[in-house]
Amino acid sequence: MSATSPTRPSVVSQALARDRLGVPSVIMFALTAAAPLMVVGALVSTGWGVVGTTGFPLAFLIIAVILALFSFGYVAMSRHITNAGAFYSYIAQGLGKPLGVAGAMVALVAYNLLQVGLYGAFGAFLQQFLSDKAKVDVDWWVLALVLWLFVAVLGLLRVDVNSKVLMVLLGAELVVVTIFDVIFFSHPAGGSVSFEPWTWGALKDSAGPAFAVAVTAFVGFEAAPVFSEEARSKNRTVATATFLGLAVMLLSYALTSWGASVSMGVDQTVDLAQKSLDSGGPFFPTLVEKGGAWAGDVGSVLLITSIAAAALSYHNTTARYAFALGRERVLPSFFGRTRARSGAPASGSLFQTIIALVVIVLFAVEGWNPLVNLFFWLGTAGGIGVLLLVTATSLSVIGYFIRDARGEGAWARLIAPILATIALGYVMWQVFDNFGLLLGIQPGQKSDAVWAFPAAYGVAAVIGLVWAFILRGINRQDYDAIGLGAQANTARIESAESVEVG
Amino acid sequence: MLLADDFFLIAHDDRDGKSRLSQRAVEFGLAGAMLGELVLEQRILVEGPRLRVINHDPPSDPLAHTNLATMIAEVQHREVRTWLLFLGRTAVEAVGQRLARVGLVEQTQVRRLLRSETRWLATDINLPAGRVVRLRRLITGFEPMRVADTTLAGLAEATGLTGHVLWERDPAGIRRLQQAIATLPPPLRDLILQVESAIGDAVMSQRG
Repeated sequence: MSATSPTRPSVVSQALARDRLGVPSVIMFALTAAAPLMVVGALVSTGWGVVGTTGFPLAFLIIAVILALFSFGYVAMSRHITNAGAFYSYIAQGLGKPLGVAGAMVALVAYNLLQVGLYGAFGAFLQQFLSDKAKVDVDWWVLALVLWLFVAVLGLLRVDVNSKVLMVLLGAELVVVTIFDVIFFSHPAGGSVSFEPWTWGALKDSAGPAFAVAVTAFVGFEAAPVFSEEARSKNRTVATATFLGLAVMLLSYALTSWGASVSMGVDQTVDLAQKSLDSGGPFFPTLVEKGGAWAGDVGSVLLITSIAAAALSYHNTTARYAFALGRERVLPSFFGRTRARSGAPASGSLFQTIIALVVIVLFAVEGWNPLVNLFFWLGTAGGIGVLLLVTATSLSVIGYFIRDARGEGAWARLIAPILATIALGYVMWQVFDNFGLLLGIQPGQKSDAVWAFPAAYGVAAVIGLVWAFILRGINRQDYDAIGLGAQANTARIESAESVEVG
Repeated sequence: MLLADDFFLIAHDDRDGKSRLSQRAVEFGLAGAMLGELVLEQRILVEGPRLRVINHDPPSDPLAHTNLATMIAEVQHREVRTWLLFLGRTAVEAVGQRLARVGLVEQTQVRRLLRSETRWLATDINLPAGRVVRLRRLITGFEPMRVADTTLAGLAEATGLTGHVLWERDPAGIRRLQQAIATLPPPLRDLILQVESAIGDAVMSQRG
């Protein structure tokens, strides 16, 4: 019997296959990015008031379609590149290393903003809950600091919220949200269900800001390719998980935001929301009114736990980004080290923790609003950063496959990415052209915030570009390894050897 | 002392036998050390991300023998990463058993909350402590490093153990160590880099 007989079962393959992730595990992971209560109960509920529109269901639909279009190319490219978990790797490998570093800096800013914003929502909603239920008055920032400490410690111990725990939380959230939908749709204001939130007429004046909110809500859809190396079937698993994740998010976000405004009256929603901006918007009050106190309580508890889980998950994402960049020497190399016992990317974790502390303290000292300013402004500003990254990644897909099709079909490598890029460009134009509206600032009113957020991304991108060119000048090996994440070390050696030979 | 034995003793607490590294890191480190033994015995070569069997003669150590035999049988698997994953699955048990056979460690069961855990305790507490001190003296330049020593130090650095070995991070020591790793014979150097990448990827995909 020949040792190379192809039919002989391989001990190694069998053993490793048992360790690989099946479709359900990857899907489970991708789905945990969905947080219907946080999106509708906090983000949209604040958004009705700040942005002044009820057209969010249509905005969710439009953004979901665009992101799905984008995902064809994204998933296709993830099969071919290293470090497939981070947008900047796609940019570095598709549009060139300088833009990749620019993308990395934008990503650091964006994920930090998304994470820090959550402390505002956590503090504000828990403060209300405690004063309603236990008649205890605690400042929002004290509660935010409690969560901050919790995240800081778990981040260093490298406790990722177990995917099964997340799944239970999400499962509970989906069941509860479905019940809420039934409550909302069975108690429509004025006795009939209005389809107005699905019309372009409801959306068109605030399309830009509503798109920004929708993109923020979908952040996390990009997570599945992290597992492209570990998934059992590289081709199917990641794609299925990504599209299913988008579908579940769309369904739960659109239905619930529609149902809630139908129940409080589509023409009343914006008014109600503006009157209750400081207390988290009209979502929970309406729920209590139509469904009873239990619905409000269950919803509040799930909202608060899901915000805490999201804060830890964004914290870990940011720490891992810094870790990959440390391995590539784009950030100082100590970011690329792990804490021995836990294997946590310790420096990245501490770095994020410090940023979060500074922001929480700043908001507490200045007395800025935790919901409108911290959660909504910083959160959606983070979402816009992700929108920038998605757009750049979409361009990268085209650039990457134009040189070599690598066996991918024309739809995934060319047609879908071109359509997605055009659509994303339109969305970006809408968002930035109406940036003041997103912050709730009326035309004519002056505010530094209107230019500060876009400028922050501009500065981050320029710093990244300049740094990439400096790296190219001072250390060619480090430059050649940009975008390769944990595998940067081997690329550096190869590059050093090619210099010696050539 | 064999490479994986040395790594095993350094990677576990000398008093309670707890791992000083995360599970994935200790698995990849031990698997890397087992591959390193085969490289040092001139049975295999590591070339970038792949390995090659260059000599089919069985090594004298039974564990190395088994590992080489598996490698020879599984011709379709030549990625270093695959072998790090495969050997890593059973590495703690395999190397622990090997040390137990010569009486250097003893197997004990520790009761945890819901399950019991296997730990390997050194029979002579001075042995692991001595190996740590030795590695420290090597890295800090008190003793000249041979190729096997540099490989051990390189695996310690790749897995994050040097922080423990050195007490405080000594930038000059680390720089000297990185220099030494870079000038190792390419098969050993590439092996260390592969271990480092594997651990980095595990961090990125949040497993282990």
